[in-house]
Amino acid sequence: MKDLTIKLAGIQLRNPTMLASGILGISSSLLNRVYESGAGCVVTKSVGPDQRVGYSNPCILEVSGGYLNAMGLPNPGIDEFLTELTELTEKNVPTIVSIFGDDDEKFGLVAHAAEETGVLGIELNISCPHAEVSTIGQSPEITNRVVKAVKNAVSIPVFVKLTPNVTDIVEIAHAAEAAGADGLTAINTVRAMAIDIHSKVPILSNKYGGLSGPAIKPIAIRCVYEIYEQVKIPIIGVGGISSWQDAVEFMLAGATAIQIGTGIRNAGLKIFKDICEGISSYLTEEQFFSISELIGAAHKS
Amino acid sequence: MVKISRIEIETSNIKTLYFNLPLINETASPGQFLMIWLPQLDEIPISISEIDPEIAISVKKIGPATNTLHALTVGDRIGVRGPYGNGFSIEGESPLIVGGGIGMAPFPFLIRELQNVSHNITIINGARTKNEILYLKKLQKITKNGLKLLNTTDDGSFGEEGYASTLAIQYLQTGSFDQVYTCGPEPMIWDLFKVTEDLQIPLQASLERLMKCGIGLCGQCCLDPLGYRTCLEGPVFKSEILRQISDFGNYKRDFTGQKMPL
Repeated sequence: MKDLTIKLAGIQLRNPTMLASGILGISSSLLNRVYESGAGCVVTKSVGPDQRVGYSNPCILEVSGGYLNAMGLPNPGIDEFLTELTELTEKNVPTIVSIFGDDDEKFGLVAHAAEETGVLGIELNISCPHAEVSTIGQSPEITNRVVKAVKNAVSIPVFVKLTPNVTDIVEIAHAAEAAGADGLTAINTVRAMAIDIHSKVPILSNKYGGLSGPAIKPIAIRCVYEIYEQVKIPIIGVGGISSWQDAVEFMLAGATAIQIGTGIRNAGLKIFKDICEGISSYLTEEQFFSISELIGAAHKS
Repeated sequence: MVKISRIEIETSNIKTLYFNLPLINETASPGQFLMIWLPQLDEIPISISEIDPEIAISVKKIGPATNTLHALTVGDRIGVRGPYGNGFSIEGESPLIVGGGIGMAPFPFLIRELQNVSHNITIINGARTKNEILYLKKLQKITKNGLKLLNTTDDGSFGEEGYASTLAIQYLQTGSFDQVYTCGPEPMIWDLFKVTEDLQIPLQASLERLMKCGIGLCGQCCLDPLGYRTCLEGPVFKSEILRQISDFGNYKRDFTGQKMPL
């Protein structure tokens, strides 16, 4: 096995695979299990200032090429969630906390509370395509303001998760970088819908949801590629990764690390280990000296 | 969506709905569940009670979704996805099945599978009162094939008086069972678990937690400290896993993800 250690905005990870936010991230026990299965680091479910029950069922359904979901940011609120975070840091599970808030100040408060538990970084969910926070990530001005507020509140690295549901994702990436973001996560799910032909109504209780899975991978690759050309901070690539080949493709496009979510559905938790082994063999076969040479290699021409 | 082909009234508050879905017939195993969708209302997990040729789900009226399921008529449609989860494994020559109330739901399917390997099956079917005993006629019909059926009611209006677990514990202490299957209220399962541990008899128990995705992605139904998902590694867990689940008999998560006493 090749050395797959990477440095992401100053954070050293044993490998570039991360658990994507929103998947399995409700309890320390499950996040610990994901880490033990081989992930380089885990990202929690998005946590906000107050508890939220989320949308009623159905909040997920399978469509061709992936899954459509609208969970509605269910979470017990940051105060309650601190227990789970402390359990993770006590077990030395490298953890990034995904957060959201109603305004700049709340974003800052939640981030600060999370930092106190000793987590490695913060990921800002300003891009959930079916909740109120989506509007933040669609405006360069508001993105800039929220990132600044969080940067002022914490000293650990801050990653900004971007939505593909905009005309120009690079514009938002620039705004986040200018505000001091330490890294970008691209992309969140693609706003989508499914309608049942018998009852003739949208299936998700929230009507609109976010599409994940293989169907969105080419969109995500394009976004990572575009952002890499224009910004200097590291990019975490996410969207439809289900194999080591997908992971390599994201890194060639410019991703320093990659996140896996929906891919767990078919491959199970061993997907992290499988992807690492695949990347390792690829590095040997393609005669790469180190994993960092992969990052952005598709931009040479 | 699929059309309901038949409806059977089981008890004062339980109905069984039947429908045809060949794909589920081919892949389902006893103890697995389906996510049943009612447009613009809810989607809930329900055990598969029978397959082949029709799929059967037994539904107890407990809230808006189950009330709506009770109001449906033959020809109405419901959304169905699944089968999901880890079901029962067919083990043991002298199994004891203990069901409490609607907890009997996965057992007609299990009993049929068990009958392929065992001619010495004992069933304890518990309910609160006589008119709430599930599958009474169906089970009486199959007792002719070497099954022993015992009924209990909390109020003594039919069969033995008392809880299903109380009678089961008596039987376990005197009988020679080599496998116990159970589903029902968690306190009942917990009582059975303690006794099967003392007697070193393997237990397979179907647990229930709030579910959202049903496919192991959202984490809503996870059990501490192993981080096992009720919808994927469960709902059926064996003794060796139950032993390690501290949430078992103690805690569940509400829809915000917060842990609370059962």
